[in-house]
Amino acid sequence: MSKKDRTSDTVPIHLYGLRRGTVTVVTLICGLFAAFILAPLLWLLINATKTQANVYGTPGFWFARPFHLFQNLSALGRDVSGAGVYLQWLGNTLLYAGSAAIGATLLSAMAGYGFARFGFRGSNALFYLVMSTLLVPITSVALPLFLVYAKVGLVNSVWGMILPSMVSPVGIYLMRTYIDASVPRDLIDAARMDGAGEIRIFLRIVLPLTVPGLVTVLLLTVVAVWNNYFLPLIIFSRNRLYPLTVGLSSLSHAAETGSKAELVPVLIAGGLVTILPLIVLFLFLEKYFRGGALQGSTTG
Amino acid sequence: MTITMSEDYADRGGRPRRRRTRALATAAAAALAGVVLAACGGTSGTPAASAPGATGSAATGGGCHAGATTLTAWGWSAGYDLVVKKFNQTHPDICVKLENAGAAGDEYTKLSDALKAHSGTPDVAQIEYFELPSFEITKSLVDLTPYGVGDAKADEAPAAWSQVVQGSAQYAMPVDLGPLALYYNSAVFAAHKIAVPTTWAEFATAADKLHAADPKAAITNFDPVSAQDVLALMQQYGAFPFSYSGGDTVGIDFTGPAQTAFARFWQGLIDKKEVTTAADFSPAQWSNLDSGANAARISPAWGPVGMQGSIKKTIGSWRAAPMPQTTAGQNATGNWGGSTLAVIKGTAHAKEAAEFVKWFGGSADAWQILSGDVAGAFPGYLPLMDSPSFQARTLPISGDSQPNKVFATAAHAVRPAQWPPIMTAALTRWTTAFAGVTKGSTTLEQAFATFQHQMVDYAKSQGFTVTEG
Amino acid sequence: MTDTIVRPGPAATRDSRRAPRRRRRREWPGAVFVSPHLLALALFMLVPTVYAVYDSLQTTQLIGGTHYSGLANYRTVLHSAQFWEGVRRVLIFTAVQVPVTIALAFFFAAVFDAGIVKYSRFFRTVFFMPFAVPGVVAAVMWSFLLLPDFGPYAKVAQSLGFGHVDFFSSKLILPTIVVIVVWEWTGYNVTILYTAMKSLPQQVTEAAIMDGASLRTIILRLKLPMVRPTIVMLCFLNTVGALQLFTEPSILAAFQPQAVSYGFTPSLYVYNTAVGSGDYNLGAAAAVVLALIIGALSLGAFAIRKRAGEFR
Repeated sequence: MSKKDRTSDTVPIHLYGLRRGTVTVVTLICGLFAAFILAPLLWLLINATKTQANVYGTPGFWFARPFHLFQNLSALGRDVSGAGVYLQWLGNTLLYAGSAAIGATLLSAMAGYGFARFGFRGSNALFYLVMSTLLVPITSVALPLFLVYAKVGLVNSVWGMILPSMVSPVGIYLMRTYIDASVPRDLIDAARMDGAGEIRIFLRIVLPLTVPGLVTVLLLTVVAVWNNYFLPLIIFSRNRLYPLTVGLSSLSHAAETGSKAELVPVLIAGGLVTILPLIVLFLFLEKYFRGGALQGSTTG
Repeated sequence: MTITMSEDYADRGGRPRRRRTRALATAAAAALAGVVLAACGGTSGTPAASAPGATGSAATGGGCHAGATTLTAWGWSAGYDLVVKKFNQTHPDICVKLENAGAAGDEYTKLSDALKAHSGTPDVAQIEYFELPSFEITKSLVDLTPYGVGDAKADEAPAAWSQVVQGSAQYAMPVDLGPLALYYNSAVFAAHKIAVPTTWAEFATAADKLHAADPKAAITNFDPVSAQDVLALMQQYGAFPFSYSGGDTVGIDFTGPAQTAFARFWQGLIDKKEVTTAADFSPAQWSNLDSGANAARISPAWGPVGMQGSIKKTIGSWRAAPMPQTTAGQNATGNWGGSTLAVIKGTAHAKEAAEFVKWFGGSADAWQILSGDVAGAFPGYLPLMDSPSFQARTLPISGDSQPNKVFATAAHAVRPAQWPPIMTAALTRWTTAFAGVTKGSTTLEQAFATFQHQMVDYAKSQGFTVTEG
Repeated sequence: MTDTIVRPGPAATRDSRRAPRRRRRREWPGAVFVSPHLLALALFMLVPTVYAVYDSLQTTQLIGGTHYSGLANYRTVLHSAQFWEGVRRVLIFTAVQVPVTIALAFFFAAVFDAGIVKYSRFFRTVFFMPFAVPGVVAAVMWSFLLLPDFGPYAKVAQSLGFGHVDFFSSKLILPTIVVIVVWEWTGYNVTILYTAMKSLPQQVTEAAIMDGASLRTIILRLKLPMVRPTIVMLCFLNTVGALQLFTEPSILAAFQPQAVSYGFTPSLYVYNTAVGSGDYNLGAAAAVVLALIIGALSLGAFAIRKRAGEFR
């Protein structure tokens, strides 16, 4: 990214007539909140370096000998609990979250555009129907969903995980709002005058103008799939297909009832490693958040 | 506002949008490719039918011979994969694919969902003793009697065998057991000159003595919200609350004289702070055991192995002793945990499945692995359990003592228990009914009375005839 | 102040300008654009939901099988003290957690957007991180951190003069869950709000700065009204999430089972009934009641806003 982009969202403070102290105070507040967020993550980091007995028996926020980090990390590459290999679960999670997020983003953009820019009959009623599905507790549809899956052959299939995760009422809402705010009607009308087809307009005008919205939906879907526990629990009975949530849960069960392998610090190390891909993703997508609507679309 | 139109309608100052979109698309594609690579080929991208013989999906189809009959088995315990591999190597005409479909409750939920959908059921499933009747009553298990599995009876501990038969039918093959013993910290007992109690009365006296000497110390932990722990203790005490022998009549009794005596005994210790009420397997429990705040643990046979990895300072000073008794000279105990393998209705290969489960729970080959380092299961299989070599084994946590001797003796002394077909609901409701005992807001006796009501109501709502008392 | 600002685009002007000439041409692509998503939604959400509603009208007994029972399950749920206790609890929880989370998120999004924070990229990344921690790991983590007496948080509370603190006691369990949910969900709200603010036209802000408006004025009088639809949506989403509270109490229950009862929240009641006890008919009825309660609350809120002319 060019330097210009890096600074484009920073309005020099003197413009607001702020005192320098204000920046320090606000930064300090953010720092305090960041400390609140980071403390538990620091605990993960410290305890990923311990033996199981030390996790239970030594102060949580201090290191203890022996230093076991590498043993715990290497256990992530083996089947230590009889429920599969952590790295495989991580790979599965990346696959599910990646595919579902790309699918959900595209579907949400299409549907959001449809709702925002076309007043077809019943569109409002449909939109409210979409939103109302948020009210349904997933735990209650678990069994019916499984029966549907058994009918259509999606049990123990990666598609069974990816396809439903592409459904995102929040994504539709966000894209509708975002397209409303950032895709000028006149632009679309002008393009129609020029004889551009609907698909072309969508791909060439709508999508480029809504990148920040797309990125937000992408990120939020990744998060949703990342944390989804019920769906994979219901539809997978093969541990080779498990995502992290279900895999680690079986690891935790083995740790609890006591096996020879010391699984608690492995679980903690697993939690720590899980954070890394999301940080990388966030930093990668971060630069696409900017680019305000209509910015620079007027000459002058 | 004059809109500037570029060839792709959206040239915003600075950088053509198109390039950015393309960059984003490329990045997305790269990310996806990376993702696919990251999945290291472990996932087949095709919707896999759950028919037996689906290729390359089982983690442990190892050791199979060509042309063998394929079976799917569900199980979650450590080391089962190694046992299955051994089976496949030694049985050329059967190939078992083991799937870890989740542990305990997660697996039962999946199993009952699959049974309801009439699709995706395994041929064999690991089911704990207490859950068997729940699957029996829905007619989901295959009676193994016609397949000659009954021949294994002579090699199985009666405590295990009695829990897999109902009338003339046999619904599963027992695998492991969890007989209870008193697992105590010999250093703490010696420091306070406490003799190992042989009756519950002596146990209470020992608790008084310990607490008087060290107000921070409690003789043991009693977790009221751990249903299986409490039920095993009740079984040991001769106060097991359920009775069931098939059909639609179930006995529920949490308020009889034996149950009330049991409740008052433990409540007395809790009130005097001579027993802690930490949650089983919680960080608090392990730290109490290691700091001397708990001088003993009432432990199932599989307990020491797991405990060993969670404590540090007191490794080597733990010893096993028989459970204290209600009446001097008795020799009774309870059982906490252990699993069976059942053959599931709908299987096309009942004969092969029966052969597999019989071998798994009742053969020296299987038990050599099951009792090994990885699985660490305690046998219900007598030829191993009663063998001098097994009973002579030592563990670092117990120094040079031989805990298996005590646990094996206990296994022969387990009082019979009849699990009712409503255990799923009982376990789910138990925590809430007994939470007050942990918090100190209700007594165990009151919790028993509450739970009695709840379970009787539930059983009646499910169409059972209930006998109380 | 806000009146003088020309709001951009149709966010403000409701879409009522359909050119009659073009109507047909305007209609069909809309349906085509929304259909893929709606098909998936129908298969994966609506069909199971309808199925669940059908289930809720049946009764299944271990002895006797399944039969139609009308509204019997609904009567059971409506008479269940446990269910209503859970409803009361999540209402209190929602009333505290949602305003706190959204206020925090708005503050952070606004200061990041104004560019008056150093290292804002770092902060935004950090705030987002709690999501990545899987539930099981969070269970281990929080159970250690919040351990009474031994745990670091209890020790901090003790040194601050609160004496013996048990985060899992009946009094403190709900505030504890509020803190955990705030820890987890603030970053999500910051991200959405920040994107919404970033999508506002710069010129308006620039013009306001030219007019010598203070930062506070710009944020509260200019940006707040402009992102109001987003805030309304976040209120809705957070409220639905809070009323369906499930994950965090289950996490705490993993190591402190006594702290979380069968019907601690309505969602737990649904789960413990449908999955935990295998009584999926009653569980489905409870889920329908819960959905109706949440729906009624949302509709009520929207109706009030609509009357105030705020919701589009």
